[in-house]
Order: sequence, then structure tokens, then C-alpha cells
Amino acid sequence: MNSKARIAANIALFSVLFFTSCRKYLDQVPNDRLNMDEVFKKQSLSEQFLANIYSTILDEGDPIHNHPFIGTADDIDFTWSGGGTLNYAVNVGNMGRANLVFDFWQGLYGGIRSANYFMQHIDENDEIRRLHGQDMIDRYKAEARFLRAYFYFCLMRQYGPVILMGDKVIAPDAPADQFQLARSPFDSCVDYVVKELDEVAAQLPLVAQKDGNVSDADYGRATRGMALAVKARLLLYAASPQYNGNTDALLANFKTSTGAPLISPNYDPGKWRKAADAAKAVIDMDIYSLYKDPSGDPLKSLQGIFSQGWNAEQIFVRKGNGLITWDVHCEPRQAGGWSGVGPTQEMVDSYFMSDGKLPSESPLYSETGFTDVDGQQVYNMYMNREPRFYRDVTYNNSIWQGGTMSKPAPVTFYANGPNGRNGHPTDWTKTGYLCRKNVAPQTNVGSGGNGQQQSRPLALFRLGEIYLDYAEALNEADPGNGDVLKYLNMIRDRAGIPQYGAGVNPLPAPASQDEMRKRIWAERKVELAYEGHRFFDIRRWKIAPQVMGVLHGMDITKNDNSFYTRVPTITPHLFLPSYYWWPISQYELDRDRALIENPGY
Amino acid sequence: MKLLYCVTKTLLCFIGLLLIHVAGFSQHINLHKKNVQLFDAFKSIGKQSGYNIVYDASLFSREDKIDVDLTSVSITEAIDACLRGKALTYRIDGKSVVIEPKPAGRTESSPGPHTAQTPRRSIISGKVFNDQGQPLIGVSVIVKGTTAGTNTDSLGEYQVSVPEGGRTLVFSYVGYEPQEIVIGGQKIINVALVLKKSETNDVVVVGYGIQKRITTVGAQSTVDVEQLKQPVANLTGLLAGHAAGIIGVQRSGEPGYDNAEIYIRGISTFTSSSPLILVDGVERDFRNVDPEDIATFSILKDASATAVYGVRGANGVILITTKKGRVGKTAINAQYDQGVTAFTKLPQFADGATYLKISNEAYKNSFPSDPLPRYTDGRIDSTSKHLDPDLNPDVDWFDVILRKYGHNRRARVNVNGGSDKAQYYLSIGYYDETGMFKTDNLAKYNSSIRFSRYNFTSNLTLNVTKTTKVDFGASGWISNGNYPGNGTGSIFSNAYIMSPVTIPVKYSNGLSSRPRTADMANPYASLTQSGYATEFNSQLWSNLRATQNLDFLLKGLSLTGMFSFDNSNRHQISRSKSVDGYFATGRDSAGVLQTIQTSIGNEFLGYDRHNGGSRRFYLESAINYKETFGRNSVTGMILYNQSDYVDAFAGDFISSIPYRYMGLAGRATYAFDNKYLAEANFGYNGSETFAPGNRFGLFPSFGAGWVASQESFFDAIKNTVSFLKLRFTYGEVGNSNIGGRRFAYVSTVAQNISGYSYGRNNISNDINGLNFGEYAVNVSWERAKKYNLGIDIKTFNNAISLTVDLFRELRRGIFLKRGDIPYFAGIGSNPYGNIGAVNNKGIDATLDINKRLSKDWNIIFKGNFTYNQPVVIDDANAPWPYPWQQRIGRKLGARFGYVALGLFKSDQEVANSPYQTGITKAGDIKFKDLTGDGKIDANDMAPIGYGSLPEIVYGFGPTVSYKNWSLAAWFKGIAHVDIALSGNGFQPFIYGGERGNLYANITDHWTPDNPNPRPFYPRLTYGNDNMNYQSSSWWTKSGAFLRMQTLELNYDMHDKRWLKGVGISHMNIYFIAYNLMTVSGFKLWDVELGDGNGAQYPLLKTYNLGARLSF
Repeated sequence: MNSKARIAANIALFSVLFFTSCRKYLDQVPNDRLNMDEVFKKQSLSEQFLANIYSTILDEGDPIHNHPFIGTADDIDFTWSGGGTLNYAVNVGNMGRANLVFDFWQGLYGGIRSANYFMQHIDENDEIRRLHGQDMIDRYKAEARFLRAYFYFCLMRQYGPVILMGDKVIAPDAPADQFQLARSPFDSCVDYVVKELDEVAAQLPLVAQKDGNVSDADYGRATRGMALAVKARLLLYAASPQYNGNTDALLANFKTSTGAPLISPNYDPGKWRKAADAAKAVIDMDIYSLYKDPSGDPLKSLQGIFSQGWNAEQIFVRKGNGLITWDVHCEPRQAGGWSGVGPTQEMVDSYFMSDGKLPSESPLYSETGFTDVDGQQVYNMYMNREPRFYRDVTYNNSIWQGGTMSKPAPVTFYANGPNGRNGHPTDWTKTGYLCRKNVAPQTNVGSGGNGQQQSRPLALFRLGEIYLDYAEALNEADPGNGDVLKYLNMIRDRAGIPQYGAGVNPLPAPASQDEMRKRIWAERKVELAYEGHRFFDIRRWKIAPQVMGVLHGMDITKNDNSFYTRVPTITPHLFLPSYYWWPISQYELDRDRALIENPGY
Repeated sequence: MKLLYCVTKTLLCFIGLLLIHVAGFSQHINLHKKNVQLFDAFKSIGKQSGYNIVYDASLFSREDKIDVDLTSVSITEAIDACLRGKALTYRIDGKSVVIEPKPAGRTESSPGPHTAQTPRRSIISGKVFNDQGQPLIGVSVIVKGTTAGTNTDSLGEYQVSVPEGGRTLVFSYVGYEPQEIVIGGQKIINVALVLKKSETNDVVVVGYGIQKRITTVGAQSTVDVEQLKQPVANLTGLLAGHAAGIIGVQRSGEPGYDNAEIYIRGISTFTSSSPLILVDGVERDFRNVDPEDIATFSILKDASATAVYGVRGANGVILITTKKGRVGKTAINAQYDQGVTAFTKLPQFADGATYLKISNEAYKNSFPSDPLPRYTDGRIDSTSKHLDPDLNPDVDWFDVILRKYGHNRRARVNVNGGSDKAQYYLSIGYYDETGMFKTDNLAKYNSSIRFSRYNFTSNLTLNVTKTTKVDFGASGWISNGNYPGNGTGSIFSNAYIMSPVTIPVKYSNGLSSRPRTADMANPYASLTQSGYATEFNSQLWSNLRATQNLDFLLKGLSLTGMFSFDNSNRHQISRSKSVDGYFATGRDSAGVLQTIQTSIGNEFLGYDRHNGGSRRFYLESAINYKETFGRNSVTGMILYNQSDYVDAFAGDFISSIPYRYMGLAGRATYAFDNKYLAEANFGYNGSETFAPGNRFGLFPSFGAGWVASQESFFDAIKNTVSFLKLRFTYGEVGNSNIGGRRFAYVSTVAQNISGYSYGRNNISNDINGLNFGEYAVNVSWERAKKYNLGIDIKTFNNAISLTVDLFRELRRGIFLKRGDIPYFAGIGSNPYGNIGAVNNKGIDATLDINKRLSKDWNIIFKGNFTYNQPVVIDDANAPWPYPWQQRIGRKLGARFGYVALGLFKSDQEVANSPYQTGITKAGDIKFKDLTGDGKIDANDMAPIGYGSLPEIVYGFGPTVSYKNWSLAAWFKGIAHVDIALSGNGFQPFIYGGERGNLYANITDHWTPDNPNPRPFYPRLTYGNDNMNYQSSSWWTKSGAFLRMQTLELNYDMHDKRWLKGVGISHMNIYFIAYNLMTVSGFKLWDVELGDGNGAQYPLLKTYNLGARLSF
């Protein structure tokens, strides 16, 4: 019967569906998808893994958005106070473990874990071994190890004593008690990182190379000089008062569970010696030199340090970076920029005069009257200053060209001027100055800009700093050692100002260790301005409470010569007792009960 | 609905008459029974023959038993056999067999009403409609207390001769409430029957089938489909408040993007809580279904109802069936309406002068050392006087970009009808809606928001043989959307960010204005000068089902199989542009406006395209069994299904893999005398997303019920409480829709993440980054244990019915990331696990009151209420240091923040209080130091609110009808919910400077001169310089509201001569006001939009006028 046949067909269909193999229907994920085992079989994939570890290196090119190490010291006043400008929150004291700002703890430890994992697995990569030999594997391993050490350094400069993970890669499914690790005393952290850097320095090449040849394509990878430079700065910090014999009352309970102080209260002069030796080791590599422009023009030399990528002064370079953002934020409004990176009067007052003396000492300095410079009335405060001043600071009526400006023109900061406070709700400098150090005038991406960017490598470490590190440490370890003046003077010479006790029109050499220290600090403030050093220097020298607070600038509310009056800047730069270090997040403290908060938070 | 007719009817003794309505169509009656009750025999015969067998119950008794042995006989032979030897006869009237006493051979000594001699008969005629005004065919019309009667014909008309003494006509029809009409002197009686709500015959849609309502033990609620027929495009926004058990809110009113969040009995998990939504048995998105095409809308809430869906059922199930054809004359319905739309509420911003004054105050507070005010008095004066608006703008941006009114319209036509062999339902619908953005006449293109949609539905039922039925359905929709080149979100956010005083709408010299700040765009330019985007969506659903009756193998057995194929497509094309922006810097000595260019635009339209689409195959086959043995009713079902869904434009490898599941489902129910009920269900499912060996799970459920009102001891109070049923169910259901991560059992590698650049001398050696993505974990679905205790009660002669369900759900194995791993471990993405647990408890209830006050007046009141509170048992996080911070033991989704104590009264008080970060002064919010450690930090955060999802959702509404008029209202409310304020436009000067609007209520703030202890805003400052705007109880406001969602006035006309003249049998004219008004303590924006700054496209209110016609 017809309908019976149909019924039979129905039943058959039902049965077929019912008994279809379930397993096959649901088995869909192919076996040959990418997984971590595969990553460590292929060269290009392993190199991508390594590149990701490299990317953890903080991009310090854009301090407005990326880090607090510029603009929260006494160097710069970022004009913005809004939610996106986190430096402002730090400056007004609105930072704590519940209100985290620029918290790099997680990112850096992520890099540390990846580096550990990479070192444990890169030996599995037979493809690299086959194509380039064990050398490349060893070198990549050394690069990862260097990066791990550098990340620890970055953690330590921001958070003080840290948790040392060693080679440990904790499994993600480990029970919670395996995550209860404590911080090690700062000195132990230093010892660990220094040992790592020493060992890895021996393995790293002097210059980037591939298959035994210098390789342009590999510039930017870790080198011996980078390892030694990081070590030099770390040891300098470790020898400084913040970490060496710090007996601040706030640290009374800052101890390990066994009662050992996390920051040593005992002063150890040997630390300065180690720091000096470490800096000298970089210098003695003899492959770096201060950048000098072939024309001999000091201003061009000083600008070239940053604009001439990969020059011989640059030791540790981050090629990809956010300097474009820096450019735009520094450029005045009349050039299409955001007009908001204002050096403080305190910084302006720190630049030397062309005679090599500080303004307070020099007869060339005057705070009265004006000088006609190419038809512009220039306040005498800005006359006869050293080349670094003219490289670094855009002051009222200084000439600038860049951004959307088609020809050089004076820049003013009068209230009603083109960059003044009355012309825009937020984009006006509150100090009456703008920064022009390491600002590429070609960059033209601000309002009405054509999007042109002048990208350039960012030097995170350069020889100029190492000279000053060396001079400072040696002056503490071995006052009177001739190298102290030698390297300090090399910096001054390149800056185009008279040296102490040497060269043309010499100034008297500092007479005492104290005097020398003052001179080194003064030089450092100017030479390394706006490069992210001042933030750490005022902490490690423990002068932050004195230099921070109310900072000054010109009177930007004015439209006439009363502009040239020192007035407090609108935004204070507070330094709270806790501000020596960054807070450890509440999130972290809740998950690691062995971890203690930094003092004062 | 067709199945409704096939359900075995239980006998009901109703005012002396027993009616059996059956609709099988066998010409050959088989009946082999010994000692069978006469009415059982009639029942059987009626069912097989398709005839109504109508008789007076007093003619014979329950004890009247006969032996019958009939094989393939006709209806007359069968009835003859039954009545053999009895003093009864019968006549066949159309499709009815009327059993009557044999005419007496002698004179009756005591004449009964049905044996009256020399009857004086009168003739009554009329027509019977359903509540839609369609004629009902085959309605039994009986003169009460007599055997006289007839059935309506194919036009729904009848003519009955009433014997003398007949005073009342009884109209009865399967599925409809019987109705009695007193004849009085009427000659023509037209009647509209209403659908039956009776507990015995009513059926409910359950998973993979239907059940008689009386024997159901699960927790289901149904949405009155009529209430869904509102003038809105998107159905999802209508559900909350229309059915017990739905928790929902709608967060946007943008045409085409106005989906509401819907949760059944709230949220019980940290992962997806979205219910499973099935349209005609297949998982489908119902938002664009035309409500006119919906036949039933059911919500399955407890385990017994959802266990058959196994791993998909834990979040509850929504079942929607579309209309099918009915046997009868072709009925045509048409509807058209048109209306205006307006925003329910628009935020009100401060005007320019106020903005400037407030800015000065806040600026002074933040920067006291600045000797100058932020804005000069001259500027403020010029702004308030609107002098030179190029330089002193004062713009209400919402007024600039938004119109006051939009409009919408709907049109639809449907046709249904059919014969015994085939029935059909065809419909086509059109909807369009115009948004409220303004357009600029200068633009050649149209950038206004317009959404239009065409729906079509066709359902065909073919009775291929007497035992084989085939259903075919094809339906779908096509929608077209037109939008500005910039997304609505960015236009609203631009309007929120742009202060009234920064730029004018455009400069008087014709240039487009724009400030220098890169991320502040001119809202008007970004709306009208940004090009346009079009969006086209199409959706096709098709299903084919064959049902085979297997009675010849085993009585009550049937087999069904279904195949469905769905396909959807989406094309978005945006043609965007931007204009050059200029900013005025002043006027030169000649008064000419000086401007600088602030942005470079693209004056030509760009082109960008996005496509999307998907397809799904679904297969289902089932064996069903249903039989009644005396007072025992048994049903059984075993079902197999599998589904394969492919995202045709998947963005990555993992999501390109088909989404599949397969499974078995089963159900067995038993009912004794409709009194004692038992039910067991199971789902056995597998999902492709879990590891082999972990893919299949069994989800059982059990239920029991007791219809107390069926007990004999209940008879005493049956007049007060006519119906009482108690139900209890327990079961386990799963949720495999755990989100987060598919195939968690395989590890992934994150590619194209941050890399590094190497190379000097112009050599670019940029290497992409790669790292661990997600770690492999062996996880499975979430498992929910659900308990439900329900009671159904009817009182006052069925006028009031109340259903209350108490529920508890324990959800375990919730798919969560481990939260107890510290950052220093460096594990980028914490691994998932089945580690969370939530206990959800609550109650939902439905109340129906239906009271006919008089012949003309009728009152209906419906209400429903849902309350639930999910409590976290395990959130996989590290324990918090202080008890008030614990999430465990607290409501899931509860809000945490600082506890505001009020405002600091003096700087002295600040100094003497626990330390708060930032610059804190008198007038700032003072927080409670819960730890007592002298400072306010994260450890001082405590529960401060219910969260953004309400705990209570309710709806109610009366319908009053008088003759042909009816007025219906529906109110919807939510409670136990709050709103946390944050963001641009709300937080004054969040970015410093002229960024961010100020709400008009900004004047209500603390100042030293007006130290109001409880103003809306604390002391105003520029930027982020203290803790005032941290999440705190100060900014947590009640989000409760009561909304008059609909107000509808109807006028019904049928049987009017002038209508008939144009072929219209029935006409209904209506006016609907939707979202007419809202009562809420929250005033800043439409309260339903919820958290943040209110920068969403507000909800709409509409006023529609229209008509429905039946031909």
C-alpha cells in the first residue's frame, strides 16, 4: 500500500538520522591548527613570539598617554587636566591603589613570563638550528634573557622591591597557593638583575648581527652595550640615597615576613663603586661616542642626538614609538599642534648661560629689558643662554617653523595671542613655554595638518647619560678622580659651553665633592631634560619634596610685558610621602597575600 | 493550532448538555468494545467520523453500557448499533448527529419541554463570529433544554426553529467558550464567541509538542498575542511586563537597533543568560516577526518544560508558532495604521550663559591661583544676548540635530482558509519608521534614519492521506535601513561632548565649524555632512514537516519528521565623507571673521562595505504516543534532532567552524482522571564546543501535579474556588551557550598582536607579535538545578484566575575565567573553568480577571509580576579582604562603590576626616571609611545598589468594553534597579575645559554661598582632581519606573449593511498611544536607557491611528 511504503520510508529516515555517528558530526576542530608547539617549530613564528616580548619595552616616546616619567616631576607641566591625561591625576595627588594610573606591573610581568617560556622552548626549534645553527637559538635566548632583566629594572624603578620569578613559569591551572610569593629586598633584586645582565652581556653581540655578519635588518635587537647600560643605570639608582641607607620613618614597617628591611637602611659606599665600574664598562666598550654634527655647530649636534637615528651615541633604541604624538603635543597651536607641553620656569632657570655659568652666577643673565633679535623683542632672560636652551625651549617671541607653518615665525603666548589661553578651551601652555627638545618640526598631524609624520627611533639609553652616570657615581666612590671632570666636561663640550678647568674660557673646577655633586646634578638636569630621567633623579636623590609642589611659569594671563613675571603655574605638582614608589594594585594584593603595599598607600 | 482539533476531548458536563466535538475524517468507523459506556462509544464514533454528536445528558446515564462490534461501518450504522434497544433516535443535521428520545407512541402524561405537543415554533437566525469578526463554521446552536438545534453554515450563518418554551440559545464550538443568549423577542441573534480558556480543553505549547493545560505540571506562561500588536518594529521590547517570568529592559530606541535585553526569570549566570528562542520549532531571531503572524507565544520557565532542550534549555525557552490555515471559507484580513513618533524624553542641557558661569566657578575651584576668570563677563553677556554668535555661540545641540517628530506606518494583509484536504495561511506585512535626525538641504543624498521592513509568512497544511499530514512553511522578512554616515552612537556622543559655547552650528560665512581638539567633532556636521549608510537585511525561514498517524500499528502512535533551512543575509554599505572644519579666532579691524582651518575633510563620498550572513539546517524526527485508557491518560515522546549553523562571513578560523549540536529528547506523562499528574522529561545532548568525551550530557526532569478541585471533597467549595491545581517540578538543565570561548579544550595562539620593529638604514624589519591566546581547559556546560512550585487557582465562577510560581535555580559549573591569579604570574588571559555558581530565587505570578458586568459592559484586568534575586555562590575570584567587599553571598550584578556620607561642610572637616586622594575641600563628597584605616581606598567599596537589571518587572492593564467600544491600557514597571551616572556630558568638565555638555540641572550644586547638604552635584572642579566622581552611592539613583506602555481605543463594527455593501464583514478602528507616559524619580534621561550618561538614542513614543478590516 502506498501509504505503508511512505511510512516505511519515514521510519527508515528516522532510523538513519538517529543512528548517524554522533562523534563525527561533532568532531570539527582540525588537528593542524596553530598551537604553541607549532610556534616553537617554525622560525618565523618563534621570531614573532620574541617580537611580542620586545614589544613589552615601554614606548617612552609619548609621555602624555604612555607613561608618567615626564610631566609629573618638576620638568614639564602638561596643560590638560581631563580624564585622558593621567599625569594630572598624579600631580594633584589623585592616585592610589584604587585609582591606578600608569600601572605597568601586569604588562612587565607578562613580558617576564613570556621571556621565561621562550627560553625554555626555543631549543625545540630545529628549523632555526637547521637554517642558522645553534648560534641563532643561543642569541635569541640571550635576547629574551636580556629583556627579562630589563623588565625587572623597569619594575624596580617604579615599584621598588619586586617579586623575583627566576625561571619559573607558573602553570595557569596551578592552585592559588602557588601564587603567594613575596617581594625580595631591593638589594637582592639588584643582585639578581645584575648577575643576569653580566651573564647575558657575555652572550650578546656587540652590534646586531645575523649568521656572523653585522645585519642592518637586526638593529634594535639586544646587544652587549644595552645590557651593560641597563646595568649601569640600575646600579646608579641602587647606590643612590633612596635605596642606599634610606632610614625614612615611612619605611619602618617595609619589611619581609622575616623582618628583613626591603630597602636597606645601611649606607654602603661600595654600591657607588659598583655603579661607577658598571658605567665605565659601557664607556670602555669603545663603540659608542657622543653625537657631533660634522658642521661643528653645537645646536645641530645637540639636535642630532635625537634626530639622527641609530647614531653612535644611541645605545638602546626603540624604533617603533609614539614620538609623533609628542611632536604634535609640543607644537604650538599656530603650527596646528596642541600647545600643551610646557617646561617650567624652574627648568628654564636651570639652563646654563653661554659662558657656562648658571644664571644665578653669570653676569650675562638679566631679567630686565629686551633685545631685538631679527625684529623680535626678546626678553633678556632668554638671551645669552646655552645652546641646549635654544634646542629645548620655545619661549615668547622665539622663532619657530614646523607643523602647518609655511615659514618661520615668532611664537607668542600672550593671553590673546594665537597660542594664548583665550583662543582655545584647553590647548594652551600654562607655563608660557613649550618644549621643543626632540620635536620633529616636519610632523604635521595636528589640527588642519596634512598627516605628515616624521618618525624616528627613540633612544632609551644613550652614551651622554652613561657619562653622567659615571661622573656621578665616581664622585661618590672616589671623589677627586680625574674621570669625574673628564666625562662631565665631555658633555659640556658637546653642548657648546665652557668646561670646568679645561678647554677654552674654562670655569674653575669644582672644589669639593659636594660642589662637584651639585655641578653634576645641574648638568644632568639640563642634559637629560625631558628624557624621563628627572622623575627618578629627584626620587633617588630624595630631593623631590623640596623641588616639587608649586612650580612656576610666566604670567600667561597678560598681553603686554607684564607677561614676563614669574607666577605659580595653575596646576600644582604635588609630591605625596607615598610618591617615592607607585602603588601595588588592590587587585594584586587580594590575590597574593604575601605581597605588601608600598609605604604610604 | 491544527493540533488543537485533534486533541482528545474530555467529557464535560455543562448545564445539562454534553457536547463532543471531534474532527477526524474517517468514513469507516471501527469500534470493538464490550461493556462500554454509551458516551464513550459516542465519543469514539464522533472522533472517527468527524461528526458532532449532540445529546442531552439526561437522556442516559453513566451506567448505560453497551457492547458494540463494528467494522468499517457508516455513521448511521454505528449510531444505530449504539442506540439499539434504547428509547432514543437521532437525526443528522449537517455535521451533527442529534440524539433524541424516540417519539412516544402514546401521550406523555407529564410533558417535558422536549416532548411538547403541538409545538409553536419560532425561527431565529443570525451569524456567529469569532473575536476577530470572522464567521465561524459549524458552530452548534442548541435551544437550551431541548434537542432542537443546528450548526452554522459555511458563512457562519444559522437558522434554528425554537420550540415553544425555548428561551435560551446555547452556542458552542470547539475551542471557544460556549455562550448562552436569552432569546427574548429577538429574531436575529448575532454572536461573537471568545476563545476558550477552560482548563480541560485548553492546550499549551510545550517543548516539541502541546499538552492539555490541565495535565501540565511545568511552569509556562503565555503572552497574549493581541498585546504584541503594537506599533513598533521590534517585538523584543514588548515582552517585559507582558508575561510572568520575563525580566527585560530596552536600552535604545534607534530604528533597527532597538533590541531589548530579555531574560527568563532573570540572570542566573555570569555568561550568556539569553533564552533559547524557537520560532516554529527552530532556533530563530524573533525580533522582526510580524506579531500579526504569531499564533502562540509561550515562555517555558522551569526544568520540566525545558529539560527536553538539554544543554540549551537552562536560560529558559521562548516558543513562538506562526498562524496556520483553518478549514473554512477564505478569510481576508487587512490592516493599516499610521502614526507619529516622538522621543519619550530628551536630556536637557544647560544653555551657553549658564555653561560659561558654571565653568568660571569650577575653574576657580580647581585653579585658585589663576587671577583671571575662565570667561570674561563680556563673553557671558554676549552669549546670553546672542551677540555675534560666530564668536559667542550658544547652541542646544540636541535641538540642532533632532526633529521633534518622526512617523511610522504599518500595513498588512493576510488570507486564510482551506478545506479538509488543505489549509493555508498567507500574509504580507509592511512596516516603516522614520528616525528623528535632521537632514541638511544642501546634501544631495538622504542621510535620515529610515527603517522599512517587509514580512511574509506562508503556512500550508496538506492532508495527503487520511493519516498523513504535511506542513510547509516559508516565511521571512526583508529590511532596509538608511542611516547617516556616522553611527548614531558617535553623533550622540559628539552632541554630548560639544559644549554649547564652543562653536556655532556653522559660521555665518558658510564655513563648517569645528574646534581644534581632534576628537570633538561638530555634531551637526557629523550628522548631515558625513554621507550616508544603507543596510539591507533579509531572512528566509523554511520548514517542512510530515506527520504520520500510526494508529494502525498501535493506537495513539504517530511519527513526525521535520527539516528546516534558514538563510539570512546582511549588506551594509557606507558612503561617508567629512567636511573641512574651521574655527573662528576673532574678527579683524574691518569686522571680517578670522578663522583657522582645524580639520581637512574628504569632500567626496567614500565607500565601505560589510557583509554578513548565515545559514542553518535543522532536522528533527520524533515518535509520539498518546492514548487514554479509561481514566488514565498516557503520552510519550522520543525525539531526535540536530542542527548545523554556519556564520557565512566569519571573521576568524574558529568562528567559521559550523555551530552544531545533536540530541535526543524524551517525555512521558501520565494523568489519572485529570487529577493526579506525573511527568518525566529528559534531554540527552551533545555540543561541538566541548572536548570529545565531555560532549554529551543527560538532563532529566520530573514533575507531579494534583488537581485538587477534581476531588469529590472539593465539590463543597467549588462555587467559590472552581479550580485548584498544585504543581511541583524538579530537573536539571544545561547551558552550552557559555560565550567567551568556543572549543575551550584547544589552546589558541594570539596572532597579529603587538610586535616590534627592527632595522636601520631604511630597512624595515617589522615583525608582528604572537603569544599565548587562551589556554586549553577541559570544560563543559553549565548545569542548572531547577525547582518550581506552582499553584493555579480560579475563583468567582472563573472570573478570577491566578497562577503563582515559586522558583529556585542553582546554577553550577558556570564558565568563568579564574579570577584568583595575580598579575605577576604574567598569565595574560586567565584560563576558563566550570567554576562559578549562582543561586537564583524568585516568584512570578499572573492574574486574570474577566468579568462581564452586563450585556454591554465587560471588564478584563490582567496583571503579572516577576521577582527574582540571583545570589553569587562562587565567582571564582580571590576572596576579598573585608566582608563588605565580598561578592559571594550577594546579588549577582550588585553595584559596588564608595558609600557617600554627604558633603564635607568645611575644609576643617576634610582635614579631620579619613584621607581621600586628590584635592579635597568643603563641598566634596565625603566617603565612609569602612576599614577605619584613616584613608579611603578600594577596601572601602561596599554594595551600593541593585545593579542595572531590575529584580522586579511587572505589568498590568484593564480593558473595558462597552458594546462596540473598548478601551485598553497597559502599564509596565520595573523596580529594584538603579542607575549609575558617569561619563561625558554628565560629569562636569570631565576633561577640563570646554569638553562635555552640562545637564540643565547643573545649577543644583554646592557652593560656599549655597551650602545645600544634598544638591545634585557636589563642588564643581575642572578635570579629574578628586574622588567626587568615583563610583559611589552618591551617583547611584533609583531606576524604577512605571510606564503607561499602551493606551488603545477600539471601535468594532460588523454586520453593518454599508460594510457588507463593500464586501467588508468586520471593521475595527483603533487608536494606540505607545509609551505615552512614564513615572519615575529619575529625570535626566529616559530612565530605561540605564547607566552612564544617557547618550543613547532615546526610546520612542508613538501615536497610531488605524483600521483592521475583514472580508
